[in-house]
Parts: sequence; structure tokens; C-alpha cells
Amino acid sequence: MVFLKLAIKSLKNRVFTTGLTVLSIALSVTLLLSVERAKRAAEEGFTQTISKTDLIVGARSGPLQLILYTVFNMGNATHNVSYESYEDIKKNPAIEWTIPYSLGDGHRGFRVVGTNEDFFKYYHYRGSQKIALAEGDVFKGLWDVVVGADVARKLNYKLGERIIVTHGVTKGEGVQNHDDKPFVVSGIMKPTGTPLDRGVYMSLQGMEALHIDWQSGAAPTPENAVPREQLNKDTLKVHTITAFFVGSKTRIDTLRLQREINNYKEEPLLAIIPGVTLSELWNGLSYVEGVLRMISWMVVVVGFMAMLIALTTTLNERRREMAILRSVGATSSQLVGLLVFESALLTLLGVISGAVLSLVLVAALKPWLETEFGLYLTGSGFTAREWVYMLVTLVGGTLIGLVPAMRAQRLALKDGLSVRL
Amino acid sequence: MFKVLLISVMVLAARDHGSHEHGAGRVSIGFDGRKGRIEMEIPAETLFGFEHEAKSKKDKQKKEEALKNLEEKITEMIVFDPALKCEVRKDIFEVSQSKNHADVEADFTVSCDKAVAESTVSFHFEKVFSRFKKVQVDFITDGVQKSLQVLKNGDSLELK
Repeated sequence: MVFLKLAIKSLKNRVFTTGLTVLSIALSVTLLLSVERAKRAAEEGFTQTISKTDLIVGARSGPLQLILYTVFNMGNATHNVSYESYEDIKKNPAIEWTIPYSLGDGHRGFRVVGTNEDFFKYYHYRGSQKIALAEGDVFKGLWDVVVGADVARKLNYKLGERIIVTHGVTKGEGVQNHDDKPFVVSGIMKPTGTPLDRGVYMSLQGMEALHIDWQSGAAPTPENAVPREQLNKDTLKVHTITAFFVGSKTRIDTLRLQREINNYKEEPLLAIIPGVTLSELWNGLSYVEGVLRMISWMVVVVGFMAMLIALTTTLNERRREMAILRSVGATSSQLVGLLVFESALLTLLGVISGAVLSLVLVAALKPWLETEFGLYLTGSGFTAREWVYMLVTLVGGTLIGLVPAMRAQRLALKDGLSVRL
Repeated sequence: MFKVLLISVMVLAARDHGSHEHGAGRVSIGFDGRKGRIEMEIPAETLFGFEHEAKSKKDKQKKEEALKNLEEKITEMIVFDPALKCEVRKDIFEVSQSKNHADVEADFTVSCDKAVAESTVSFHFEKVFSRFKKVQVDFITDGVQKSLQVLKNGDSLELK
């Protein structure tokens, strides 16, 4: 109790330096905890971009490539999957649902995806979150499109807006446009914080209609062009898709189904379990995690050094205080105890402030991080790892106090009482 | 942000899937509540110490012993939480022999008293077959799809 009183009074006497020391530790702890939380959020955002989907099936390439072009809107498929193969596999009794996915075109830098209404019914992300519409309806007509939240926000699209799709995927405005076949925005999706927000979704027949007169791979001549009015959703036949998502009846079925699809005789196909591939990819990123953590710990060490410097420099000012304490009967080990107690107190204050600050930052920046970076900060409390970090910081800060304490112990009694000339 | 991460991944995490690599294996585990299935694909060299067709008495004996070991010690290699009281039974063992290579495909069925969700599974492949150097484990159960590269005894996977 005496220690506490003495330490508080002594720290109050040096309120400015004490404040700075606590601030430096608090900022270090905030950074350490924020990096840990951001890492968790990035992992969550990354691995939960798609959920409840058991398999993604595409033309045989690499699992990485398949997941990049289907889930992350990156890269392109080298081959397509024939619609017959899709229909054939879909009949497998182990399959509960499928979502066909047809890629290849773009709209002002955003991907255009041809799919069907099952996309809105079965596609899940971040656990059991489903795609929902903020306005309008799913594509019912041949020329309807649903736009992702980012597309609507960045291009300022409203319901009923007419849009032109570009042939191929371009970064900005397209070179060859399907301008004879404009689409109409029938729905706008709610933000998901995933790459889904950056897509334009239409029916498979809509995608087919765009390319009906592009059979040679080039834009149609005026005499070959098929007028928009002649096309009908019910009569258009889908020939190929890029990939499809599969939900199986049981997880045990998934393993068997994966093997069957990978050995499918009619066409070389690749079936991947998305969560497994994403988890493998994330494990490949563990070096980034290690670097981030190392930087955070270095910041904590710098915080400790700041405390060490503050305690050591003030020691000189406190020579008289130490000498008086010794002269009234305090032993040298009690002085060591007092100084170590002080540093423990400073570290504790720093850790508490840092923890509170990190929680405040999370609460304040959560909506912005979600919309701008797709980082979902989950869980309100601290994880076991975060508690360990705080404990390690507390012990480290307390031990740092030993350095000035040992110095103070070596100071002779007369050193503080005698006047230096 | 994801683009930066993904580009790093493309450079660093691209892996060769399905290739025959001595010392490496692939294990897929699927669970529906309390019932599950284990599928293993292992180069024969890792289990038998050779990949040619077992013709001599000595080779045949080595092969039989290895397969017996695989069947009997599967619960030492793949360790479920003891509280779940899981029982693992051999389903199909198949050795596919090509000209220069041989692979073992081993399937097991698993039945536990409790659902495996939220539990931890640990792996000790090298403890039973010392030639194991890395095993790619894929685990799929309701709401969890995870993967782990087992490089040493005791590496574990949390099913949450």
C-alpha cells in the first residue's frame, strides 16, 4: 500500500513524462492488437468470400486459377465447360443444387456474369449470409441485369438504367461494345463486402444472346447481325458455361463427387473444395502474417525503450528523493521494488489504455473498413492470443523497470544528500 | 487489399496438385455430424519402401505388413478428440501399379459418439511411417472446409 501511494505521488510529480510514457506503450499495444485483429478480419474476409458451396467445377487447370476467376473476378478461364456436361453432372443424385457461371464480358471495368436465379437462392458468403437486393428484382427478362453494390455506387446506376456490355474483360471503357443489345438494370444488390459487389449479373440466355452473332469470334457484319427484337429467352440455347458451383447432399458425398468429377470421361474437368483451396492459399500467406507481427513487436520494444529512457533520465532528478527514502529507513531492495512497481504501474496503464483505444478504433472504423476494404472485424472481445500479448507486454514492461532500479540501488546514500559543486 | 494478397499467393502458394511425390501424401476427410470418411492417397514408396511390383516373398511380406500397419494404426496417425469416442474402420485398400510408380488408395469409415464440429484433430503420420515428410490434409464438415500441410507429428486442425 505504501508502495502504491509513493509510486502514485512520484508519478504525479512527473505527470508530463509519465503521460508520454503511458501514451507510447498504449500506442504500441494498440498497434499490436490492431494488427492481430486486422489479420483475423483479412483471413475471415478471404476464406469466407464463399461459403456453403461444396465444390467449384471448371475446365481442368489449376485450383488457384479456378478460384481466382470464379470467386475473386481475377484472371480468365482457358477453356469453357460444355452445357451438356453441366446438365449431365447436375443429374448426379448426390447433388442438391448448382449455380452455373458464365464469364468473359465486362462493363466499364466490371465483370459481367451470366447465371440463373439459383445464384440468388444458393450463393452464400461469410457463413450463412445470402445475396439480397437493395432495390428492384432479379433478372426475369432476357435483357435484365442485376448490378453489384459497388457497380451501382461507382457508376451511379439506378433501376431502369440502360447499360452496354463490352466484349471481353477490360479495365476501363471497352473497345468492342455489344451496343446493338443494351440491357436494363432490374435490380441492385445490397453490399456484401466481397468481390460479388463488383459484378453485373444477367441470365445465361442473356449472355448467349450477346454472342449469338459473334460465332466467328469477331463482331458481326451488318448483314450477319441478329436484331435484339428477334431474340427470345425461351428459345435461346445455352452452349457453354465457364464454371459451376455445387452443393452436395452430404459432406461425405462431396469427397466422392469430387473424385468422380475429376475423373469425368466426357470432358477434362476440375472440382475443388473452395474452403480448402482458400485455406491452402491463406496458409501460403503466413509469411505476411509473420512480418506484420514482427513489426508490431518491434513497435512494442520501441515503446519499452521509451519507458526505459524516461525512467533512467528522471532517475537523475530523483537522486534526492531516493536518498531521503534511504535516510528514513528504506532499504536499497525496497527502492528497487518501488521503481519496478512504478514501471509495472506505467505498463499496466499503457496496456489498459491501448486495449481500450483498440476497441474504440474498431468500433469507429468498422463501417469504413467494411465498405472500403472488405475487412469484417468480427467478435467484440479479445482472443486468447490477444490476452497473451497483453500479458507478455505487462511482464516485459515490468522487467524493463529493473534496469533503472538496479542503477538506483548502486547510488550511494550521500550521492543524493550531498550538494554537487 | 485482396489483390495484393492474391498476387502474393499466386507467386508463393502455387502448388502442384495430384503429383506423385515420395514422402508426400494426400488425406481427405469428410464428416456429416458423427459419421465420416477418410480417403488417403499415398505413394507406395512411403509405406512399403519400394514402388516396383512386389514379386519376391520379402517384398510381398513388406507390403502386407505396411498395409496391416496402415489399417491397425490409422487411429494413431489421425487422432480425433478422445471425448468424441471415434471408431475408424477400413473400407477399401487399393494399390494402383503403373510402370515406375505405385500409389496406395486407402478409404476408411469413421463413426463417433459426438459430432466432430468444434473439436481438434491431430496428425502423427511420421510416427507410424517414418518416410512421411508432408501430408496435405483437407477436412470438410458442416460449415468448415479447411486444409493443413502436416510437416511434423502433432500438427493439428481446429474444426471451427
